[in-house]
Amino acid sequence: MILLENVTKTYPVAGAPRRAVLRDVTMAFPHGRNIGILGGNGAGKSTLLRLIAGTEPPDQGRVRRLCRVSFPLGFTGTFHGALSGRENATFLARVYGADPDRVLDFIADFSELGPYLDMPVETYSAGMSARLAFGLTLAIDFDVYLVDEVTEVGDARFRAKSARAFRDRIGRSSLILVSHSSATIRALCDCCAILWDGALHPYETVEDGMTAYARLMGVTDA
Amino acid sequence: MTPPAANRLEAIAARLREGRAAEAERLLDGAEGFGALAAAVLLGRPPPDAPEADPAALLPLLRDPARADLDRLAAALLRIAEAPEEESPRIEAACLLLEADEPQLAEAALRPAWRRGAGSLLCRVISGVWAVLGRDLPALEAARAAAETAPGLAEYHLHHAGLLLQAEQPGAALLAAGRAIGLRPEEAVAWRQASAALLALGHTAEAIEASRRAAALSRDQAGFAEEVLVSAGAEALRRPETPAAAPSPAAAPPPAERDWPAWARPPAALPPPPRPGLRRIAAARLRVLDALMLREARTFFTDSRLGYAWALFEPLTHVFVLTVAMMFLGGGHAPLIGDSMPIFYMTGVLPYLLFCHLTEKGLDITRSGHVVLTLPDVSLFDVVASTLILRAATDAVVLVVSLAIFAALGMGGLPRDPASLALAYLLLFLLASGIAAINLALSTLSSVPEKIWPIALRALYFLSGIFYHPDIMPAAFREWVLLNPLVHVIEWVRQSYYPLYVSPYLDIPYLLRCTVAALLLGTLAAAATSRRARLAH
Repeated sequence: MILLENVTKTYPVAGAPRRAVLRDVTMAFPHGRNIGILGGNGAGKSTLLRLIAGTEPPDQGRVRRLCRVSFPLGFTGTFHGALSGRENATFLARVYGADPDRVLDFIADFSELGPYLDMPVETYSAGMSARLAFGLTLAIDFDVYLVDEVTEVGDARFRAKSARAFRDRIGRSSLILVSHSSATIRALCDCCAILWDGALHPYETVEDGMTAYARLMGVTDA
Repeated sequence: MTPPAANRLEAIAARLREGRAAEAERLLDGAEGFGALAAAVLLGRPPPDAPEADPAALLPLLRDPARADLDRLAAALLRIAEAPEEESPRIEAACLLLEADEPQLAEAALRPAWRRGAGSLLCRVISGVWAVLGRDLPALEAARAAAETAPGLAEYHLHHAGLLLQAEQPGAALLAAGRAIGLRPEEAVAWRQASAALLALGHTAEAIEASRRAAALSRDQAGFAEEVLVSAGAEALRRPETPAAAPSPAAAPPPAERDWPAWARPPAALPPPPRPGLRRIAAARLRVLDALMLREARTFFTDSRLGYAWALFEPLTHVFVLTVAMMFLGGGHAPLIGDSMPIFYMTGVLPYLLFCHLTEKGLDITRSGHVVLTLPDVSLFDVVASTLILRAATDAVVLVVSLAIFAALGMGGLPRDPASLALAYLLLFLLASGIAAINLALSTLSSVPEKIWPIALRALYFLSGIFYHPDIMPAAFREWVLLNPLVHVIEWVRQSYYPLYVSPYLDIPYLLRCTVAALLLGTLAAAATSRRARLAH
């Protein structure tokens, strides 16, 4: 369970008052539900995900994580360029309390980096870093996975493999997913919430949420 | 095309048809080799400008009849060989090769016929082949040629519109989709492309309208219509001034909180969190500290080429420069304590440098550590502690190595009281850590400390009794200098090092008070600014 308690988060906009992503929001994200988050560009979906992940603190209120929450899937920001893929993976595995040997075994097998695993991450292409990050997220047993948009990593074959590994994971873990694509949310989630004007509106089913979202966009009879 | 090649291919094709693949292959291994033969048959002559089409790739294709309709392919190749200028056998061969997943060969088959005035079907097929090969610009050109040559065929316009959308030319794509709709208004894909183009052009309402038409014409497009709706919402929020897409929350009120589904309601009372034992908390902290220090140790000196060697060189150069300078300035007389000037300087420089290293670290921790601070399990305390401990451990090793070097050179003995020396260093570490924490807090508020602190450290170089003894100061001045806790640290270090020296000025309770005050103040200041430190990136 992840709890937002009276969370307020704003960010500065050039030449305008600060924009609120969340205004005094209290909501629960229970373990065991796959939750999709709908909202327009700039509504702050990615910021919400970073708040949940803990990579960014709220302005007010607090975020309580009562389970192990992943960093946003494929997030490469914590890699140190001078360290090799192996060293970066070991570091993150240790910080998250996972067994580094097991994590490295999985990554060596999954990420298809070959000899690059022992080279500095700064020599990687964007796709290779993303593959490393993706493998790392899957290798550590998180209770809740955070996904920002559809992670497009590597070629079609690698994507298919990732999707398989990921679906396999969803059986054991739950998911909070942010996406523009209603198809993705329909495929992976069983309930959803709309982020709108600084508030979060939860819905029991994806269908309800989509209908409400269409109404919210000023379109009737969606 | 010379008849012998055609004959030989016919013979090969005949044997392949009869399932005598081995025999056919033996025929292929003739003087010319199959690669050259297939290229000659397929292309008339090897194309100089399409080197990526390796005719040898045809070999596995012919070995594996399941992958291609061999009879038809062989017949098409034969017809190309007999009439190289005809388009239809080339198109047929290309389609078969595409089906067999050989787009490069398909391109090679079509390429010789691709010229001004080529037939529309050839243009359409070669455009498709190029699109498969990812060569977007030629694909687009061929698609336009096809649509212009045969303007009455909706499919050509559809294909053209799809490529234009991919090339991010929504205006042209809208035109092409419009032509397709004009020819076949019941074509759902055309409406879909028009909708995508409209959306890219910012005509949200029309885009939604077109996507509805597409969905009404074909159930396959229902998902697409929904996508348009969602991204139209995204567009609307990006341009709040657009009147059609700026519904006020009052017009379409979201559900009130009492309608919330059960899952989103925070539980009234949380089950009390399992209280992890003190040992488990400590183990978790140690795990994080350990991981951070390992990472820090690997990247500590990445900026400096000399790496860890620099850590040892730094104090030795200080001692060397001081020794040489004092020889010229002061005549190089014996120090007040002991009989070696370098040893006297070293016992002052090493503690001073540790103090500098730690307090300076405090100023750039938020800059260098912000990346790991984005991990929720890593606290500011972890980053500060791991950085300072690692730096102090490095300097402690430097102390031991320097002492060993001087002892080996016969310039000084080993410390008289190592335990007391360790205690002095521990206090120095705590004092410097406290000040580092204060610096850390100040650095999140302003960039001034970063500029001032190095100057303050230079001043401390002269006010800490590094290269002189407090004894030689005028008494009035000495009273002030003794307020500097660093003087007491250095006196303590010298008292524990030299066999016969008892410092007349060392005031351990005063040093303790300073240390506790610095630690308290530092902890409070760092705690008060920890949110800013996390946001400092």
